[in-house]
Amino acid sequence: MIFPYVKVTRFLKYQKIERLLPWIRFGIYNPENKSNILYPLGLLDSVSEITFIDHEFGEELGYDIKKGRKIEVLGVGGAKIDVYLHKVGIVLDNSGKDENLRLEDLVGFSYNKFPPSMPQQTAILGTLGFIRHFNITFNYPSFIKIENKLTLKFS
Amino acid sequence: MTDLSKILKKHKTGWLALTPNNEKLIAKGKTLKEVLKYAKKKGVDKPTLLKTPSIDNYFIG
Repeated sequence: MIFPYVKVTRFLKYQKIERLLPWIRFGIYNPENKSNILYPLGLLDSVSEITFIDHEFGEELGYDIKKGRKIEVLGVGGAKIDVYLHKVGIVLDNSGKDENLRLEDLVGFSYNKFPPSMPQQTAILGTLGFIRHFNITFNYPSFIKIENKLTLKFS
Repeated sequence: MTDLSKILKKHKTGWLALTPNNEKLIAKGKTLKEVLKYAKKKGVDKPTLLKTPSIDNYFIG
């Protein structure tokens, strides 16, 4: 499944700087109600050990967020946020162009602003909860390719 | 490539709902619930949802 990079712009001392970031649309759902799917636009972050998402998604999907296991996420420069882990369903769906990819794994919901080193406040897709389930190719600046992990069989 | 630069330049706080192909802004609001409601009123059941980011920093992990 192919995803484009997303262009964002910032202004530094009146100078316009354009950046391309690996932001992808994905679906999240509560495994207890698979029909209610929300579609955040999150940063695919190969160095984040966990996946975490703004708490409003968890509330909208019916989670009692603070009942999850609380862990601390540390970022660059010592920034830290608390997240509450829950089992979440994730689906990648590019409008029928490819077969959907689905998984269920632990994802953190956070009430904190994400660390300033992350140009995202919606969702960070890290190893636990996302990357460990897929083969991912970053072909900057053209595309990001996400595939199911190959299973090799030896006879 | 998807170009969100113009949308993000105009909307610096709150939540945004985009079309499923991420190309057009459908709704904005202070909460996720609010933008979901506005998007549904406009006939988009599966919008892409984005909390406006801080893009004034370079990302190093």
